[in-house]
Amino acid sequence: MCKRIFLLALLLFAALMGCSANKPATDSKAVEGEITFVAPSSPGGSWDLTARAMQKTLNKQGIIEEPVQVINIIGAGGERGWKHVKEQQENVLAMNSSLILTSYLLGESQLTYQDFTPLATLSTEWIVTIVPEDSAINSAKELMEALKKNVHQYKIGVSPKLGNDDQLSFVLASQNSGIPPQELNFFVYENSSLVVDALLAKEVDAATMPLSEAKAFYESGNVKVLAVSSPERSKEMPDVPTWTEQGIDLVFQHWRGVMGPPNMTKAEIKYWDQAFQKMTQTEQWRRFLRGHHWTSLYKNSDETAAFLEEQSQLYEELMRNQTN
Amino acid sequence: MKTSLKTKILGLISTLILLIIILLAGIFSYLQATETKRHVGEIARQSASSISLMPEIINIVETSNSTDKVHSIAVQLIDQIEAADIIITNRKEIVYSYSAPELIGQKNFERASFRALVFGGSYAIEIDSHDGPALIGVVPIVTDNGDYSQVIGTVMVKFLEKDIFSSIYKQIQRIIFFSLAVLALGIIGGIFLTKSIRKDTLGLEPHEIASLYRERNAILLSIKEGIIAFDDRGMLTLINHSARDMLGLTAAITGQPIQQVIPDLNMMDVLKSGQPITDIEIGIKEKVFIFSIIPIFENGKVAGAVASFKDKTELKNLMDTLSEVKDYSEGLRAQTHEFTNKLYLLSGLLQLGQYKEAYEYIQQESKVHHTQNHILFTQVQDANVQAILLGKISKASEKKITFDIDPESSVGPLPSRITVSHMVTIIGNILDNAFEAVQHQAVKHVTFYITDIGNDIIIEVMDSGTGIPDEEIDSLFIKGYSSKGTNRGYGLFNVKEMVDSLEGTMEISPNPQGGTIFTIYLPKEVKNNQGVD
Repeated sequence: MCKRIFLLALLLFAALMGCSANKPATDSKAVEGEITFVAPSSPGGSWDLTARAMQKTLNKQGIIEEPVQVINIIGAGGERGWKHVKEQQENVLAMNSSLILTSYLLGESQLTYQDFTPLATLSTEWIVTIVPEDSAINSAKELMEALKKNVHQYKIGVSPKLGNDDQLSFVLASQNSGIPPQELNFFVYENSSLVVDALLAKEVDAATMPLSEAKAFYESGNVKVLAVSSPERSKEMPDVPTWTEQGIDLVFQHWRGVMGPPNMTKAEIKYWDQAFQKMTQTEQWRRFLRGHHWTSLYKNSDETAAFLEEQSQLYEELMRNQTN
Repeated sequence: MKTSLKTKILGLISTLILLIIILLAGIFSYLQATETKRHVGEIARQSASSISLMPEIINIVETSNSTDKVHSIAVQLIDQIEAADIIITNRKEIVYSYSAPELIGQKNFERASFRALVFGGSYAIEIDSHDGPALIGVVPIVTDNGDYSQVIGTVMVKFLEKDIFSSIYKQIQRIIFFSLAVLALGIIGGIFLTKSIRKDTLGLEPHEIASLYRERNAILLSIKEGIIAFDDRGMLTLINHSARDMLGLTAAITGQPIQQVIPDLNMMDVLKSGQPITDIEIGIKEKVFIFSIIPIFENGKVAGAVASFKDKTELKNLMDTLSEVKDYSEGLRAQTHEFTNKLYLLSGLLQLGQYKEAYEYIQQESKVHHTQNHILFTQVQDANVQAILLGKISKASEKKITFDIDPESSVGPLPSRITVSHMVTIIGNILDNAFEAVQHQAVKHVTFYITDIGNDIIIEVMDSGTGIPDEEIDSLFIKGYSSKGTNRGYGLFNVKEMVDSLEGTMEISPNPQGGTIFTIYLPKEVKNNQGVD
């Protein structure tokens, strides 16, 4: 009892000390020394690619003079990398996505977006639903009708884990079409190409994955793309209709962003706002996004904070579905 | 009605302890409740997680609909982890195990598994289950089929909230028990504290102490003697009004060492020896005080001392007046005696028939007497001065000193500000000094002159003594100075004080015929009424 109360007092004291010890807001040099971007995924993943593109753009375009390095901290669906950033004081930023919201909701992580300082939202990508080229199903609407008739007969492939935006978008689409999501039978693979392999081997009947990853298979003609989750048809796959076009109410995006450790000063936040805004306007950055079939979605720190809050509520509603 | 010290302290202590205990117990209970709930949730989730990983369970859920085996494992585990229920379902939410056997094989109706089934989430969730609100840990059963994995069912471990609350309640009961023990301890402590305080205050209630204190202050203020008290280290703890006046102190001096205030007073002796000192004389700032110091004892040790003192100068004046009065009565007796002698002489002369001589003797005596008395009774109209001079005449005639009152002397009744004690001190001392100065001279002659012409009363005494050497004139008025031996010398000092207090002046000059002339000027009125006592 005493110990706990003592702890409480200590915490209070620490909080007070923390308040008074806040770094003074200096305008000129809010950020000094080497900067580290943490990509909480393996090299070659989207977070890693984004971090390295940021590093090049920021340094090569002379937007910031401080040297930037990228490190990969892999594990626990991003949590290890985020944990590392949370414990840092300054100059260490991490890539994030909706995964930081879903991991918490699914009990995989104790971290929430509120443990960090939101800095920017950078890009977004759309999600597509595919079936094998020779499938009898020709449209998203047909797929939903088939599922409605006999949901247990169909298997849907997804990667690399349940609860990601790819799966979530499909769950939402079926829910909006009147199919109970818990009846859906998902097979989970390690990566997109294994999913396509399974699709072609008829191990699964349909799959959901990011547009950028499906594009190669789409272009090779192995798969049919039934629907894209964007509000309008995408430039990359102009002949693929949106969900909305097919009468299914769904627009869903997979966004990526940057966040910093907790308790960043206003000056630091301002510094990064300016840096990221300049970065997203450069041709180099746009070329990078185009190259990966990603869409630019720049939001500054304030907008990102509001966006995260809104997204958090949305995901909570989607996942804590109690109506079934 | 005044509450007694005991009630007051006990009440305050009990209220304080009670408040603190309620607050602490409340905070602790709240923390404990939250913590217990979180802990139970974590246990539920972890147990479910362990069960979901059991190969036997995975195997049966994956391959068959045989519920018996799963159910018996679950029943065993329920006992081990003291859960209310363990519910294992397959992908289609068909129940393999449930504490209520009739539900086995049916579709599960606890709505908690959505996130686990669809998204593979594992979590603890609070829901309204069929037997009341419950905390349920939900974990998916996942099979790894080589290149893909799949959710094939869920494990739910259920703890009823009423069970959690009863365990929290038990903990709170313990807290209450300990709190009561602390409260009892506090009250006992309060009783001891009260006793200890009452012991220190000699069993007096605070209001009694307050009234004692007020009385003491009033008493000290009413005493004309100076009172000083100090503690065992010699620090001044108390000084009354009279003491301040007498010592001429104005600033607050309590708490200072006594040596700073009265350096000559060696109070440490009293503190060390514990012996009282009575009637010692100590000079402070040109005055002499008579001190008595009495030690204060506490538990057989000296805890301090109280000194009382009075102004010796005042006392001396009183004694002088007394001795003057004594002198008059002796003078009168001497005169009576002399008169009797004269009557014997006359009677003798008459018996011898020498009438002529007797007649001449009477003529001579009556002439002397007449002149002296004429001056004394007609020109000196102040009764007090008359009385003093009458006494001195007798003294002079006894000592065979020719004491003349100047025929030019004339004075009316003195103004009321000049009292008999003033005149006794001034005239008495100066005449006595003059008498002593001529005592061993061949010519013993002292002349007294008094007049009130003008604004001043002028008194002049001329003697035929040896005079005073110039170098001694300055030290004449110093207290204790005397050319007449030790333990004397207050005479002229007192005269000077009296003259000063009447705002008069005093002159000493050598007599051209040898001897000294003392002249005293006393103003009849003091302007602005200042400096009059």
